[in-house]
Amino acid sequence: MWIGLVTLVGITAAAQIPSGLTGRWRSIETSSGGLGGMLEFNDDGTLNFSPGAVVEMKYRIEGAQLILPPASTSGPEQRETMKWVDQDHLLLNGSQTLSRQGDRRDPNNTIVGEWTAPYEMPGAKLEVRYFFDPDGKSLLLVPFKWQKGRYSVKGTTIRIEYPASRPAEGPFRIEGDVLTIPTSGGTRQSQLRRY
Amino acid sequence: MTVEGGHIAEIVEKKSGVNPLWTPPWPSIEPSTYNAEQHPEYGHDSESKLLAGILGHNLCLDIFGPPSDGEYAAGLTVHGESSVAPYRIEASATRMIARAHLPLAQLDFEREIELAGNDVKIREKVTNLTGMDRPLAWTQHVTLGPPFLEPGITKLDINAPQSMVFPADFGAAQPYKPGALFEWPFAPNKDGSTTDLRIQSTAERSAGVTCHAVDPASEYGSFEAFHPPTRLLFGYSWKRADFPWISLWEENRSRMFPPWNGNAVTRGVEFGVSPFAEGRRAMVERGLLLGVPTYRWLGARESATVHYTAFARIAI
Repeated sequence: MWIGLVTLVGITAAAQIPSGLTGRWRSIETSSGGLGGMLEFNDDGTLNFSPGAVVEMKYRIEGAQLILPPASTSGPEQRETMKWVDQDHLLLNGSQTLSRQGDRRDPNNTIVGEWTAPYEMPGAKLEVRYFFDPDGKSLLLVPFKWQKGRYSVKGTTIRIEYPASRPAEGPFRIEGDVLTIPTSGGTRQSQLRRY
Repeated sequence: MTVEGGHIAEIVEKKSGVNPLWTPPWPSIEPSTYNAEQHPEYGHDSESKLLAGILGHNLCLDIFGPPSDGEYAAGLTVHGESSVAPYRIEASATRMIARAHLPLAQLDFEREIELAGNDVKIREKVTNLTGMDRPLAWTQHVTLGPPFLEPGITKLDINAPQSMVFPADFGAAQPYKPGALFEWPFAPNKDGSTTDLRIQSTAERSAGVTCHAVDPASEYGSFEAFHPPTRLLFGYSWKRADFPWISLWEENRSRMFPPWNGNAVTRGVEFGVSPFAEGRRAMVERGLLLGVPTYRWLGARESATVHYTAFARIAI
């Protein structure tokens, strides 16, 4: 009876996916190398993964210009001309349209929030994602190619199956908005932040 | 594109004005004008004629790497005639066709380049003029350079997980353990640590070559390089059946002899039919690596055609 109860608990744990795990995560870029991309854990045991670029930048608005850091050490700040199509659509430099995702967060600072813009790679249509915080920080996520994978959780251990790579299996933990997971092959860990 | 050598010298993203491809820190001359005695600044070996005119993306055809002593004596230079031969070019507003005859290799080569928005679509055709089936090296030697290539900043990704470090050691500047097998992106180092190959090296000087087999589950191979400050994304995409290998070459101020002189910062992302630039004999003798052929066959009097795409765009 005691053995049966342990087995039942084990099965339940294996089938359970912690609610804090599902959702969107992006790598925390470090000099030693992060996961280098974006991960979406779905509640059906599948995941979407894309290698890509994660860029944190400061920004400010001056009139109708979005000011971003210089493109080179000695170069000038980058100035993007903004034209509001409406409060949820922003035309940058007359060529690229940002579309707001979710609700407007700050009626006095319209750019604050999450935005996407389409871009194409050969054979794939993707979306760049921009986050503007009220404190002048922004986050740019550039996926290179989305791929499907699977994951399962047993207690504090996660097994992640990426396409064309060895599975990543090992302990994982969630501390606040930071997720630590094993990398492919399980030889090291990678940290991601929820977005 | 250069008339001599057929190099795709620049692919400029117009908004940023950035050309991600490599422009050497030495003056470029036409390969046909190179003379070892008159141009010691380019060195004096089988690579010098190529280096005198190298820019951006050059084609390695018939051989990938150095010629044998006999081939060099016969006039063949590093990466073959395709990188130094004269091309006949026809161009219109958005399309260009370049043709070259390679007399030593007895090959005809044709490249068509079409501008299509932010993409550059490329078609290449190689014709074997001999009456023999022959092993062929065919690699696109795409070389990235500054200002796009920035230490610790520029990021590279490839879809080729199974990897190997070149078996030979390039000396103290090479951190990687010769011959080590690994899974992209963490290359084993000689000192027991690993290097994340996705990030451009921050070492004062570094060198190395690694090969990577394009994911066998994918129909396409690709690489993407991203420079966060300009938000410029640059890369190539090709059919894995055409080019199953990526060879990464790193030369970061390590070569102290002419024309390098410890000044060049490059990263070659070389996709083709061979894993390493090691010349004809080694290519054939290797045969297979990681279960993937290390050269392709071209039948007697046959032609082979490939298509691939280069792209450069600002991610917002």
